Amino acid sequence: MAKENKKDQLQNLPACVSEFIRQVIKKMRYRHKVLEDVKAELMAHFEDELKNCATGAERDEKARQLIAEFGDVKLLAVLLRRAKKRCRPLWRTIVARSFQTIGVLILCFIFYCVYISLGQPNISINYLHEMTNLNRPVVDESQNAAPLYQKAFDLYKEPPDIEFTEEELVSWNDKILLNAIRENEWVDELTEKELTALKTWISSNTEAIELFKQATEKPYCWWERKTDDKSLIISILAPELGKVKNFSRLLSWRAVLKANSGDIEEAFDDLLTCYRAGRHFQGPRTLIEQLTGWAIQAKSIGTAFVILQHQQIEGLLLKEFQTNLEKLIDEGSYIPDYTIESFFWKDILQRCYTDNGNGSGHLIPGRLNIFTGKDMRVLNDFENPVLNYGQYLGLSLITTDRDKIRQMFENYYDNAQQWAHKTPWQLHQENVDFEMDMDDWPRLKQIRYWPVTVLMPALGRVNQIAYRYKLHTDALITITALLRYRQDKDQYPKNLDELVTTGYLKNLPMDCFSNKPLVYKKTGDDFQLYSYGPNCIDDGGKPSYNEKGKYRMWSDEDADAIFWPEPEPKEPKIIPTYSPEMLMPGY
Amino acid sequence: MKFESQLLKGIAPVVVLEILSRGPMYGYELSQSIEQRSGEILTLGKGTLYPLLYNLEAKKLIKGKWESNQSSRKRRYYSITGKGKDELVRQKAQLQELTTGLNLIFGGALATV
Repeated sequence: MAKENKKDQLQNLPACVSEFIRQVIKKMRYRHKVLEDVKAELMAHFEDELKNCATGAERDEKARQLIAEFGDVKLLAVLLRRAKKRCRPLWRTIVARSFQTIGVLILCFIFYCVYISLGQPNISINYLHEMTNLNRPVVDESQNAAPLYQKAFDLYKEPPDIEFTEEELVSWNDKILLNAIRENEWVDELTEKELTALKTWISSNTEAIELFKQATEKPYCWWERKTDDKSLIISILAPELGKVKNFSRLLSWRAVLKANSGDIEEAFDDLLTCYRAGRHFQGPRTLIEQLTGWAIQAKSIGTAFVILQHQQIEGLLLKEFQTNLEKLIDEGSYIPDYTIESFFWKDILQRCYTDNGNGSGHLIPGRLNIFTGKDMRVLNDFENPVLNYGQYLGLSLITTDRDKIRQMFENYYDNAQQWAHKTPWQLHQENVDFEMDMDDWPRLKQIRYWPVTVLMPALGRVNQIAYRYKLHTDALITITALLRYRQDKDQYPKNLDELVTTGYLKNLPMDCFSNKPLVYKKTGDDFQLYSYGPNCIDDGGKPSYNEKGKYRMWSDEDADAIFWPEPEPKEPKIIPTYSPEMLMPGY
Repeated sequence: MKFESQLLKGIAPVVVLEILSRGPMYGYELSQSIEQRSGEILTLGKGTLYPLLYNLEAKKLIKGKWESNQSSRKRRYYSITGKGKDELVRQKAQLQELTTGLNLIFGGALATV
């Protein structure tokens, strides 16, 4: 109503005046309320000026004259606007300036986001090629074990399901042989059906095992890795690793069955075959390959312990086994090599970040699914990207630049490689905080170094695992020597030095957790051999147990690692059940 | 006689303050009053009047208020503030000094014109 009234008032004025006022108001471009005030004031002015005009013509003439006196519309509008702006209160000026600043910042932010989003990686190094060059020794291809391994894998038969009746079957998992049988068990711990399935599995793989054995005798093993140019080298899968692990179980179980039937020589031969296979996965390889190599060696060592505990073995066989093992351990490597592992993150950085030139080395949001998407399925289970583009963009804005990420990775890997040459005891003495405890980082740092938190492997743990495997082998050699000594001398030696001086052992077995020889104690007609364990303290031969009460070496950080004899199982942990009365007395 | 616009621009604020010191007025009334009281020697350009009033208002020398007059028309009346009065005194003193200075230059000729 008020608006219409004002419109009417404007119509009461000559057309040229109305148009003049409209133009002034239009060009002022300011707050509506202020414009209305100015408009009303100008209208009032013209009305007052024209009120004494007797005729329409006179009125029009006077109006034109007044408009001329007001001058240029644009200039008047600018002057009025400027003056009115000066009139506004301070708080309004602050708010206006704040909004302007925010607007400019938002605009800058949008430009920056576009700039970030349009970044392109500069893939300059073919790390797959680098890896191939490092892996492949310059020797005759006929000495490569890989083709023979491949033939063995092609012939390999999966274990049969155990034939349970419906009544016997507790869980569907029981049907799967490798789930049912426990690691490092003796034959008498297997059920008849498990044993039958195991024998069937072994006999169906006789030919494959023979080829596998031939492969392990080759001096080196090299697999050609392939990937298309668009994929990260971390996406290279090594299907042979799973197969090698299956063969290690196959050989270990065959060794147990053979040892049980008295064929110790062949049993040891299978274990040495398994151990030899482990060597093919050491040196400059991926971490997972190196870990697999050590794991299958540990498997054969563990099985050898079981056999020694359950069978009386002739001294000559023991000596041969010990000699072969000593030879193999001299040829093997227990120092992790992180050269190739570092290629993974270097490749990821070159594919996910712009280079440091024009691109300023920022994370490219469109490439971030590499971290969480399909290509990274080897590192996590995410089949689909877990973040949306906005979140990726946010991460790109917050995360620190390529140089800093690279620096952090390089430091970590350099330290890891350097510390890999130090025993756990040395690191303990030097109080080295090996792992970067990223959980303790401030939240902002965790986000800024997000790629590091996602990709950084626990290399400190890898170093320790490598030393554990070596220690395990040393302990087995020592025990073999001790058993031989007893067969010859009808008693165990007073100390380990005696083993060395009498030629049963080449060197004293050094405990990497104490920098002293392994702890050896004569106990009646037997002996005890153990390491200080991860805490680097002699806990007097305190064993560690899993929740089922079974002895489990390394499961407790504050226990010793007992190699001989295997500690008796203890009562499993009982999870207490509470009645409502106990939880809420008087309920 | 019409003044050069630049010359008038310099004294326009003090003229407006002086006129408003005698009572509140709206824009048109003010421009009429300036003309009448100056014997039509001083004329404030219409395009200058309102920006000048708004500027004085911004400096809090005057304040505007919408009011209805006898003919029930709404007009924005401007009145001088305390700060405006102080400023007027200061400006008047300056003008006085200016006149004295000019008289000295022109040998008293200005006073006799």
